[in-house]
Amino acid sequence: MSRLLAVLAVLAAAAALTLLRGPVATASLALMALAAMVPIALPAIGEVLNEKGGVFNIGLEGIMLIASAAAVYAAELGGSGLVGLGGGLVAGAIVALLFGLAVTYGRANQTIAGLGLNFFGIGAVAFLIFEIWGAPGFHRVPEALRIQPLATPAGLLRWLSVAAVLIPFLVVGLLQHTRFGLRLRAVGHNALVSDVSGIEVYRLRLAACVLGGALAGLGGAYMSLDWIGLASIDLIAGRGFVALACVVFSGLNPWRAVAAAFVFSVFNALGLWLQVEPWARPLMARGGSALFLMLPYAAVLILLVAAPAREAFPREIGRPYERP
Amino acid sequence: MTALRRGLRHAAPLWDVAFALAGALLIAALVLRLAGYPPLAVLRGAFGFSLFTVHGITTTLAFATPLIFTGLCFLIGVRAGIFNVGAEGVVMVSAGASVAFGALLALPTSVHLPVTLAVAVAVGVVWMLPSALLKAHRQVHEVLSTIMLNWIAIFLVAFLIAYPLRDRDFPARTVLILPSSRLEALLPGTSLTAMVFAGLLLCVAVYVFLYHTPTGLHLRASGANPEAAYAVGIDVRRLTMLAFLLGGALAGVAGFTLTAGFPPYWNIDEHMQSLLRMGFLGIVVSAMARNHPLGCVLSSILVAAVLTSRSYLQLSHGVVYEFAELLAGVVVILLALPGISRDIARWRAKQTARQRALTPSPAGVRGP
Repeated sequence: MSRLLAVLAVLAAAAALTLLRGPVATASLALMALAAMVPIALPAIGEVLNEKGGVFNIGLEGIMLIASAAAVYAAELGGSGLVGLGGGLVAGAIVALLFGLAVTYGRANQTIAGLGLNFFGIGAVAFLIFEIWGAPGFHRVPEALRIQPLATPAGLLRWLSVAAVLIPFLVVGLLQHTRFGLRLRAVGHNALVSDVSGIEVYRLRLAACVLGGALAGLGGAYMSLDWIGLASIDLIAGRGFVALACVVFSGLNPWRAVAAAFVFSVFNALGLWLQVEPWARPLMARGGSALFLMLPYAAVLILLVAAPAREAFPREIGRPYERP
Repeated sequence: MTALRRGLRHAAPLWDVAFALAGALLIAALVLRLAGYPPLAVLRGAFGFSLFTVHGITTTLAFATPLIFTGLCFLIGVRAGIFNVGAEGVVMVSAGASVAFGALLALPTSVHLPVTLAVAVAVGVVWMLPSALLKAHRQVHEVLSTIMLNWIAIFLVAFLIAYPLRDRDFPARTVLILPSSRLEALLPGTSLTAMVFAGLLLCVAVYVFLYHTPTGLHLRASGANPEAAYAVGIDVRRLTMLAFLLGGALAGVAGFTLTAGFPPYWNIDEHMQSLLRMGFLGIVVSAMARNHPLGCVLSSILVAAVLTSRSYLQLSHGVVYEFAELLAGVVVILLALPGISRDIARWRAKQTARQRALTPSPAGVRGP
C-alpha cells in the first residue's frame, strides 16, 4: 500500500515535470535525487544487515558523522579522495565495532547506546575539526581531493550512486546464498536456538555491525568528500535516521531500502529545486528556504503512516542476547 | 542495621552512575591528554567554575531547570515503554511560540505570563500528538517519528527566526519577549529564575504520579510488561498516548523556560544555540537518574554543570564548545551497559547461596 503510493507519487511527479518542463528537467531532477540518495541508501543497506542479525543500530547518524570527518582527514593525509573514502569506510567500521562490542558482549541496551553514540559523534567531530584544522564548526575540503563525478548533459552523475544501486546484489547474495547469511538470519530469528546449535551469536552480530558500519561510513565519506565537500557537525542532518526509516519501509529487503531512499531523495531534490522557481522568490526573500528543507522529513513522516507491520522483522530485534 | 542494608540496596543503581561518570571523566581526560591539554587542570577548573563560583552555580541551576523538564519528558516515556526523543523538537516549537506570544501580544502583566506558558505547553502537547497517534494506532517506531518532527521543528523555527520574529534592529536574534511576559532573575545579574522551583515541584509531582496514583501504576505496568498489563485490563494504548502527551507538556515548559524564563536574553539567537540539544540532553538526565524522577534533580545539575563549563573551557583553555557533548555521549553509552551493580548483586547472591549451602537449614525449612 505504502509502496504503491510512493511509486505512484514519484511517477506522477516525473510525468508532470516532463510535461511542464521537458525531459531534460526530469533527468536533472533524477540525477539530483540519485546524488542525494547515496548517504541514505548505503547506511540503510548496512542497517538491513544489522537488523537481520537482531541489532538495531540507532547510532548510524553518529557513525556517519565521525566517518565523514575522518574521511577528509584521511584524504588530506593520503593526498587522494579515494584514500579518503577508504578511510571513512574503515572509521565507520571501527566505531561500529565498538558499538557492536557494547551491545553484544556488553549486553547494552541498543537504543540507549545508539543515542549515546550520536551524542558522542557530535562532540568528537567538533573536537576533531577544531584540533586538526583549528576551525570551529566546519572545514572545507580542498577541491583537488574531491571525487570527480561524471558529467552528463542533464547534470552530474556520482559514481557512488551507481554503487548504491549495485551493492544490494552483493548483500542479497551474502544473506541468501552464503553460510554467513543463513547463520546471521538464524541469530536474528532466535538467538537462543542458534547458540544451542553451535553458532557464535555475539561474533556474528559483531560481524554484521562492522559491515553495516563500513557502509554507513562510506555514506558519510561520500557526503564530505564527494557530494558536499565539507566536514562539519551539521553535515549529516538526520540522514542516519532517515536511513532507519527506509529500513522500516523495506521490511529488511535491501532493494526496497534503496528504493525508499530514492523516494525520499526525490522529495529532497524537489525541495532544493523548488527554491529557484520564480513563484518561490518572494517566499525565499523572507527566509523561506527552511520551509523547503522541511519537505523530505515531512514526506518520511507521512509515509511512515503506511509502513508495513512489525511481522516483517526478526523476532529478536533490539534484544540483547544473554545465555540463560 | 537492616534499614541501612535496605538503604544500600536502594542505592545500588548509584554505583552504575558513579562507574559511568568515572569512566566518562577518564575517557575525557585521555582525549584531552592526547590533544595536548593538561587534563587535570582543565577538568578541575571546569567543574570548580560551574559548581563552586556564584556566577557558575547560578548558571548551572538555570541550565538545570529546562533539563529537568526535558529529562522528565523522556522519563515518563521510558516508564511507559517508549523512547520518546521528541523533546528536542518540542523545545524548539514551544520556544518559538513563547517568543511569538510573549513579544507580539500586548496583555496586562498578571495575564500575559500565564497565557504565554499555557500556549507553550499547548504547542508542546500538539507537537507530540502525531508521534503518539502513530505509535498507538500504527505501531510506528517512536524514535523515527519524533526525530522527523524534530527536524521539521528546527526548520520551522529557523524560518520564524529568519523572518516573522526577527528583530529589525538586531538581526542576530529574535524580538525580545515583553517585560509583562518575562520572568525576572532571582539574583540580579544572573539567569536564575523562579522556574527552578517549578522544576523541583514537577520532579516531586511526577514522582507522586508514577508511584502513588493508580494511573501511574498502570503506566509503569504497561511499560514493564505490556502483554501482562493488557491481560489484566489496563488500556495500554491510552497510557502510551498519555505518556507522550505529558512528555510534550513537560518539554513545552522547557521551551518556555529557555526563552521567557532566561534573563537577560528573553529571545532566541539566530543559530538557536540556546535551544539546540537541550531536548536530547534530557535523555542523559533521565538515564543518569536511572529513570527515577527524584534522581533528576541531581542528574540535571550534573549535566548542567558540564554545559556551564563549556564557555569556561573555551575561554580559559581553548577547548572546543561541543566537548560537553562528547562527555555526555560517553556517559550515556556507559550507562547503557547493564553495569556493575547487577554483577555485584549476582556475585552477592552467589555468596549467600554458598553460605546457605554450608549452614544446615533448621528443620528442613528452605530459605526463599
